[in-house]
Amino acid sequence: MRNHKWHKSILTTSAALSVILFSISAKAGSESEFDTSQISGFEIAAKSDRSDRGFGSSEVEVRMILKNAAGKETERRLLLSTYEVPSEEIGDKTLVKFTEPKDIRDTALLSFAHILEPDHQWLFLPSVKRVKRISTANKSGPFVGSEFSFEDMTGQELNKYDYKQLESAACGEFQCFRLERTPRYEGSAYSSQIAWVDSEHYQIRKVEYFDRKGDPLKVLRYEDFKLYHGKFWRPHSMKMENLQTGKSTELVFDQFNFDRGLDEKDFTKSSLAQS
Amino acid sequence: MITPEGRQQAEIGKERWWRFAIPFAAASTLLMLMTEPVISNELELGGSISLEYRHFPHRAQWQGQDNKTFTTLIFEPEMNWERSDWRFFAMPSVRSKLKPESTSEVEISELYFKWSGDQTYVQAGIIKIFWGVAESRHLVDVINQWDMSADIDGEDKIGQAALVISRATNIGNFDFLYLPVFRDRKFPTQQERLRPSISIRPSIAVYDGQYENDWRNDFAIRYAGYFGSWDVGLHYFNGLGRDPRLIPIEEGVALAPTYVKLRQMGIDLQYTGDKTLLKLEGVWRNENGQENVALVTGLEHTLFGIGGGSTDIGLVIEYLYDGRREDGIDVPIEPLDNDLFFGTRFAVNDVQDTALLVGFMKDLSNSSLIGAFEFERRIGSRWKLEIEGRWFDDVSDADPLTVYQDDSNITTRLAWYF
Repeated sequence: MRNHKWHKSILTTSAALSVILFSISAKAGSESEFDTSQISGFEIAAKSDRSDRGFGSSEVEVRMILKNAAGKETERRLLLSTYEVPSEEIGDKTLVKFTEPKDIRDTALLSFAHILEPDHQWLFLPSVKRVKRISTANKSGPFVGSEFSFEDMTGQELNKYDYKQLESAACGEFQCFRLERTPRYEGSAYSSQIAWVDSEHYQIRKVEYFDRKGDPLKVLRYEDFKLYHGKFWRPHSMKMENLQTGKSTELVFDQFNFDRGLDEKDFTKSSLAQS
Repeated sequence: MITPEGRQQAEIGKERWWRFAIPFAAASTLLMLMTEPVISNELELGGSISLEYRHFPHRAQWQGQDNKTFTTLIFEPEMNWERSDWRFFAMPSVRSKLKPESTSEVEISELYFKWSGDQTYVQAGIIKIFWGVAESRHLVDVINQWDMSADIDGEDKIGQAALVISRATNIGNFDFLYLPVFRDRKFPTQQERLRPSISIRPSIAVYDGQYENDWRNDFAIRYAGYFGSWDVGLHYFNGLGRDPRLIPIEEGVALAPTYVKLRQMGIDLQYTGDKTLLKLEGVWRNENGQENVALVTGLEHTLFGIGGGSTDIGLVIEYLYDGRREDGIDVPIEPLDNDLFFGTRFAVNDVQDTALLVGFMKDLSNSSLIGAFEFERRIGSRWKLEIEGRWFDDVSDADPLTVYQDDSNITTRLAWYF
């Protein structure tokens, strides 16, 4: 029973998820102080990326809803915990623990994000009690039928792109900067992306993805933002739509909990095995 | 010493671990109930029921093995109860063989109480743990006994009674494990396949020269940590070895599992590169005064997004060496003595987590080649289908696996999770 040897598919799923979710913390900004007429595309991206510091730790339940072209839905559920590492030189630590589907319940993934060197990731496989260090090689391909890929999310890191500021445009109730991002790394599935960053809170509201031929491929929308502790914005829905296949994947977030008192010791290789 | 009377008494005493498990469960539950009331959202219940159908296409090699198909129902409920710094977990396992004969067996897979302090944790009860990095053989993973009646691949573990004290430091984790109870390996019965020519009788097992499976003072020490891209594990084990020799008794009508004292030191090492993992597991053993070494080393390489699609292909190559003596007289016999494992894994990365694993083990000292595949796919959100096959069609007479020569088989398993 449960005689799996490599568990790579679960591995891929959870690894990708952590990356997706990770990007949330990197994106949420809080204030707007810049004179927006002078600001460059890079500075906007930098402000959006850097402004969310000081939240300590957070925990949130997430539903991942995969929808195929015919509208058939499949759901996964997970618990996402994040520990903010104070140093700017080291990325944050995240723990993703699946609760559904039930056959992968308690499967967990611990990630240490790094700025320059590759991330560290360990996967915990509860049926065999195994902790396995896994490769964090970037993947441009989709995973588990989801419309998110690793690249979409690790891609949010500031220095992975060249930026060009396009004309601003309205985005819902806000006015948005539009930043064209061209991947600087190799093997990207995209020729470019357009990130929409609102000029009030510096939150990413939308990202448009263009394939290598330059045709529109996907759109990611961030919605249902809520402000926590008067300073931390969090989207409660992230919906990625594939314009070419009609498939979509939505991440729906429950209430973020910043007061769980999570500590660095809750994010270690050994605590993973004991989770 | 070894007498028939001793044997009888020993048989009565074999299930003594129950006497440990039940009072332990009762006491720890009571303790928790007394200290704090249960809050429903801290208590999780779940588990699985699976039906397993195993078919052997070839006629059996040995007398008594009259059946080609075996059906087993496995019920594994679990209970998890967590508070801020402690946790109680229980997972019994019921294996009911439905066909050809109907028997049931209840095991306590896991049943433990765990307390987590600041840098220290203490775990007591029946546990399952995993050590190591390799895929084809779990050489350093010596704490739990295996259930070879469930499968011969060493992935089915039997819960181990243990007290574990663990300490987290800046360089990694240090564990001390006290192991007071020894569990017998489970083997197929006379009627079942995947056994040697004469049946193995756990009821006449010998433990370090004694018939009585007494309380033990076995222990192990473990270090596990990482340095950059390197994950490092070290261990020392001192106790009764989990691998038995099989000694013919009563003029060769049965085999008596014979467990010997083992002192073992080992290392497990993994380098995690961009797409390639390099792995090494090595042990030095002293078994009944005989010294030997064993090794598994190799790599795992992943090709991501084959053909522009979503499928990943993983390739595993591992070399296995074991210096245990071929005759199995002084130390357990070891089929994976000088072998090469080649495995490939297809992960479709779809919604249903479809995956296929195919592996081959080639003995480098003789002609033996054995193969295995495992397919798995979720159906809906609560069901999972697994199909596994093993074939032994070219096993050398000189290889210990020759006893399985005609036992190639295919297993279909359907599990429902709740």
